Amino acid sequence: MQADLSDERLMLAYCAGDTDAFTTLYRRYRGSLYRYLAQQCGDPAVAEELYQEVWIKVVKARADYQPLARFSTWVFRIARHRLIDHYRKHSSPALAQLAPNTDDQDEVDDLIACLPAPGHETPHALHERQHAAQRINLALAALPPTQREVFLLAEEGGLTLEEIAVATDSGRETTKSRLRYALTKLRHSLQDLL
Amino acid sequence: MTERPEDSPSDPQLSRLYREHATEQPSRATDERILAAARAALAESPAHPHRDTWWLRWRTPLALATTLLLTITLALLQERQPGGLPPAPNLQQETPSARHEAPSRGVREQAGSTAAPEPARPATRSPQPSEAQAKLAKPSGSTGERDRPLQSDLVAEPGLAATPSRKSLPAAAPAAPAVLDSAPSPAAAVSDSQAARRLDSAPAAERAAASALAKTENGRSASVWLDEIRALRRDGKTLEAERQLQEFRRANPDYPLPDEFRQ
Repeated sequence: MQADLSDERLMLAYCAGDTDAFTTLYRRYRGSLYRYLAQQCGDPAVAEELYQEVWIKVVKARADYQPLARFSTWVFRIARHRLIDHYRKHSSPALAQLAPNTDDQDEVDDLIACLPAPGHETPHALHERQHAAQRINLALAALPPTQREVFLLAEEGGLTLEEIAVATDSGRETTKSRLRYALTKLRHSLQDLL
Repeated sequence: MTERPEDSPSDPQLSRLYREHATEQPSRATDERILAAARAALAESPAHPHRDTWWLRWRTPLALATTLLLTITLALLQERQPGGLPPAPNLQQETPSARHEAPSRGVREQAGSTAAPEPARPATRSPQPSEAQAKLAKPSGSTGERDRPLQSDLVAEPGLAATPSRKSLPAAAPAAPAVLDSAPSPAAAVSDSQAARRLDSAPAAERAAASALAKTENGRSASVWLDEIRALRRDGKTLEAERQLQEFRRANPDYPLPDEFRQ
């Protein structure tokens, strides 16, 4: 029965004391939220830690939750802020890219140098992942953080351009431009797999 | 997942490839920790949202009710305390009867040397000052109430009518506090000695009231009037002076006459 409910209704049900609603909601976003964080920070261990913190934040913020926007927009916005906090704490160069009002710098070669080390380069990850997955991750890691972020919010979160713009504190046209560049570069990198 | 608008860039082939290979998941342990935290959070503080909701629900009505109550209270207080002085004609209409019905004990005590205006009254009127004092001695909530007797009280109680208000009769101001200060606490009110003290203090108040009332007679004060009588005597107009003195006595029966006029 709860599987038919919207994300927002499930969250409200959880706020009212229904733990099963939270479990259903959690399963819906389990993979997408984790992959968003993992692809963004490039370290599975860090991603797992951030992922847990994001959900704890959701739990704590339940009393103030208002279904003014889609739940996905809300939860991915929390995840993005947590990611920025992480970058800030560790002085990551990616922070400059994710911070609001940054210009689009679409020169991939210039940005690769400041990207976080991709998690798939660890021996453990290399052993487990397939070759295609490696290629995809590499291509994603090669994207500028802002473009990668927009692509992941669209693919993993299913957010529209407007929702991504809200979640990233940027304009709709900027978001659209970033997504277009991201798709073009990924297609170029993964041409042989398509 | 919402449908993307037409102008939204998309690449279905790329999306399918990504989703086929995007299989990373959090660990089971992480899942368990998060779900346990969610359950624990509900178990820990189920009452908090309810308390917040109650307060939020009643906050506005309570604020409105408090504001309304304060407004009504202030309006009632303002209504009961007219800002201006009581109208002079009313005071003059009331004061003669008050003076007539409540002769001062002080004047009556002085009647041994001068002609007492109405010697039969003291026996029947003597309880009045004590009644008036008892009214003043009633324990009231604040000194402000004691300081400001209502005009209706002045009219209804002749004995109190002679007690001047500080505002309207400034000449009585020095004497009035003696009366008010002599008003005892509720416990002292039952004491006989203090009751006697109150009776003693009553003539002073009445004298003060009488002098204050005399001040307004014919637009001149009693002392000025007496000065005029003195002047008449000095000029040798004894008949006119006597006539003026009799008028003065009629107008100010309670006014303590100087020795020179008591012969």
